[in-house]
Amino acid sequence: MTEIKNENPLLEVKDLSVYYVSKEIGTCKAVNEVSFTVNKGETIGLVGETGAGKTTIAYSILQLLQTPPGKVVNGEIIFNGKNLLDLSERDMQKIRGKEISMIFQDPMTALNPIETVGDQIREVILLHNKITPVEAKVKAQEMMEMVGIPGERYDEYAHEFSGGMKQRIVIAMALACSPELLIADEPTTALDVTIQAQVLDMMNDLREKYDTSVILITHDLGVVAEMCSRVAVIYAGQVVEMGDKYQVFNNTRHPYTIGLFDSLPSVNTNQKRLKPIKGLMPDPARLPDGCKFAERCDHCCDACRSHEIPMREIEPGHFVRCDFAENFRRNNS
Amino acid sequence: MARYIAKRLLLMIPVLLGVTFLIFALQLITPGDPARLMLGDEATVADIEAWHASHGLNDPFLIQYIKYIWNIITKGDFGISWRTGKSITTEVVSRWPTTFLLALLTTAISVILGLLFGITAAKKRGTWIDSLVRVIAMIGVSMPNFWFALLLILLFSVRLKWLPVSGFYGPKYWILPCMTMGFLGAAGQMRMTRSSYLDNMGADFVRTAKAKGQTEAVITRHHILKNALIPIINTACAAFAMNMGGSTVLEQIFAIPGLGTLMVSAINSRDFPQLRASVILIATTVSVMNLVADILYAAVDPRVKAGFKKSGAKKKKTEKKNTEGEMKHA
Amino acid sequence: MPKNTAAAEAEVKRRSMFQESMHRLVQNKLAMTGLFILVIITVLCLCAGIICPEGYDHQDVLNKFVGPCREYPFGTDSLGRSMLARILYGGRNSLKIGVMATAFSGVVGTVLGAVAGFYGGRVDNIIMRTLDIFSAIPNMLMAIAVSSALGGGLINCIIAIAISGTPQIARTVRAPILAVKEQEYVEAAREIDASDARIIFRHVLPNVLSPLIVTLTSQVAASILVATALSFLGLGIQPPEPEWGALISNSRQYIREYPFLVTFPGLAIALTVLSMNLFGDGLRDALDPKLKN
Repeated sequence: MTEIKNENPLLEVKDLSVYYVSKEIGTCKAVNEVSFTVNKGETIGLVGETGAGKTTIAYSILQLLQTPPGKVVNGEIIFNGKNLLDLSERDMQKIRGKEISMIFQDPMTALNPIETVGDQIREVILLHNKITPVEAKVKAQEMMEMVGIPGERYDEYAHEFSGGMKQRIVIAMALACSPELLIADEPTTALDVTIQAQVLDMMNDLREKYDTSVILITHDLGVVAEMCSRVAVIYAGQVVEMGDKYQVFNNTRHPYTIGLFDSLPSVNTNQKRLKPIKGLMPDPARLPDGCKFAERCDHCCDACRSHEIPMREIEPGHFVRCDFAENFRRNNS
Repeated sequence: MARYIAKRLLLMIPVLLGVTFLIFALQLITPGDPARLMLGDEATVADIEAWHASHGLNDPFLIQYIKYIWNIITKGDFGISWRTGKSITTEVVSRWPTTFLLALLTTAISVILGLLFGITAAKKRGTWIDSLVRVIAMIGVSMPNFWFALLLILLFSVRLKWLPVSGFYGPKYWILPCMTMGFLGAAGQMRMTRSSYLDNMGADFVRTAKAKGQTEAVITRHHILKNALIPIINTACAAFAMNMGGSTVLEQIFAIPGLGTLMVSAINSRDFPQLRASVILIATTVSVMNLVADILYAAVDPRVKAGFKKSGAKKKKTEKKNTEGEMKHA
Repeated sequence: MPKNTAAAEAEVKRRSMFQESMHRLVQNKLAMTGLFILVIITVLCLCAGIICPEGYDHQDVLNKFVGPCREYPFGTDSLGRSMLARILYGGRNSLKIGVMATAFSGVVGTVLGAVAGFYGGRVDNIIMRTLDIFSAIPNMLMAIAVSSALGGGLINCIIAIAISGTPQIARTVRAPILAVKEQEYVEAAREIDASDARIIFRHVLPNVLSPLIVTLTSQVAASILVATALSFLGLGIQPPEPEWGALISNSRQYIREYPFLVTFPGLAIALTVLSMNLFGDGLRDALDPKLKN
């Protein structure tokens, strides 16, 4: 595929393929030739169903994959001109938490239960800055205040915080060293709806303040609309549609993305029933040839199943992995 | 913390009273009249009556029990032996340290061995080392301790002649008993350590630490090991109870002058007060060690303390702060 | 009729889960090896009368302390009695104690645990606090204390071991009941006035079954270990009846000259308990695959 030409993309993922190899199930092709870029200061959303490979992409960038069974079999991950896949574990440790950091899906278990939350924030500060523990503690408390938690709660434990508060702690930890790139893996999925909005607002504020680029992984198109400037829709380990938020939202072209939007409940139209996408995502251990979405697509034909569908740029910056993209358009009410 | 300890101490009192009552009540199910047993068939009715009176057996059962407990609490007096008629307190108390030390030492050995092999097995999970350690552990928990002790005697004392068979006169004599219970206990410890370590290896917070850029060594030491050690406190405590309870067999084999041998001789001579006193002492020791383990637990795991304070003021404060924090940002 | 459909569904689900568990169990080589050894040992002990028709007490006075040979595969003891016969007949006693004691504590423990868990409140408190007292005394010590009060013999030995094993069973039963009790389908059953007994047996016990089976299996093994230790101390089975622990105890004094007298009965115990543990572990993994590491 052709790349968006940008002066200086912060992160460039090129043709990334990740497989999980296990004796019992065989080879699981979790990520297949995924490419996308993240520019400085922008937020890109990776959208897709559970099991589409979003988290695997995130783990590959930080090299947190469990190997075995996970294995990057192909591709490059260029961050600030360096291919992260070539770096040694020791060099990666210098990048993790300092230049790229990550927020995890479940704040309930992401914190060490027997260490004070303050010390857990301080840990990352001490790791990447040459300062004394006392200074680091002050900095950690500053970070806590920044995410809306009183600094005097430094000595409390994770179980003393609510879910939303824990996620704030995790965010404080992730931003403590002002990373250039933040990967947020479903940061609000485990939270109540009201808390979700607060956490997202706060992330937006902090992102602007620190000028951090963000990869936001989510299955929630509403979250994307609120947070992101660009979107990549992931299906069965592939990017199926990618572009500017407005391009993808208003000029939706891939049948899968159209299906995603159509399955959302709407208040405006007088809908009797939701329109789910029929069927299930293919088993990553037995991916079909040709278009991975063919099984569930109303418009598929023999040609769709016969060859790998290339990514095509149908308008500047808007890429779709469908040969008939021009024929489809979402009824945008 | 002080309140927590105080509360646990208070909770221990009814349990100890119950334990002593239970053991005291065992004499109710003992067939036959102890006086007849002690004095023999030639004893006259008057002799037996006199014996009953002098041993306080004419009181109602509950009164007997209350007197017994009262004497232990106020005077540390465990009563008199049915066999000799002399006080058994000195004998019982002087033997306690041996049994206690032996149990402590063997528990320590099994915990250390269990940690070493358990962590190794967890780290090398799925390899032949893991399988080997698990098989050995499996055999370890299946061996009767007295048989294992005899095998060790056979090897180290009879064949190799390195160590004395039995007796208790110096450090050399401690080795075989400690090895017996230490090795066998290690099997159970190792299985627990392995599964606990594996649980924590896959925990989310370990991934968080990794995402912070923390090194493997620190993650292992600081995050995995510390969390993995918490359940070990429980199993170590259970092992200690087992070693205290199993002291009878072990001391009998190695002729160690502890409470265990005292119990066996008390059983053989049907000297119930002596048996009773030994059992009560051992059970009390185990209860106290349970308490120590609980306190240790609370000290290392903040969640335990939180559970204890559930209805306390602290929790309310936390909740209030939570909502405040949440609102402040909204 | 929500109750019937729920029960029917539970029935179907339980059966298929049960079949799946059995499939996993059969796949487990170690567990199957354990079961195989266990069956062989049990059959041998049951057939002791056929294998050794002369009985465990027949004394061949001319052949004392004979080492393992053709006529006496495990040798003879100080009175010229065949060790093979004594081990086989002794195994009957050891296995009997292990199974009977576990059955006894299984029944009593299940009832206590079920009542405590199901009724909760004061009943639960009384039962559990009493059991706390029982479990404050280490198992071995409890068994020693009870059997020394009752005296030796098979029945007393079984009672002593059963008492020491009961609290653990009660706890095993109580915990899942407490959890299950609040589940909606049990609430539903209660709403339509199903009897307590019906709710317990129909809805609650099935959830208790897998942890209970696992605990019972390991307790048979543990009971055998305690039983042999009791007999070793002279508290369990009384001579001349053979028992594995007693055999070791009797042969102890000859360990220097005739170590085989100690090794064979010990091997019998270790092999039996090991095979039970192997099977029990396999059973646990099969019934609750989540626990498997």
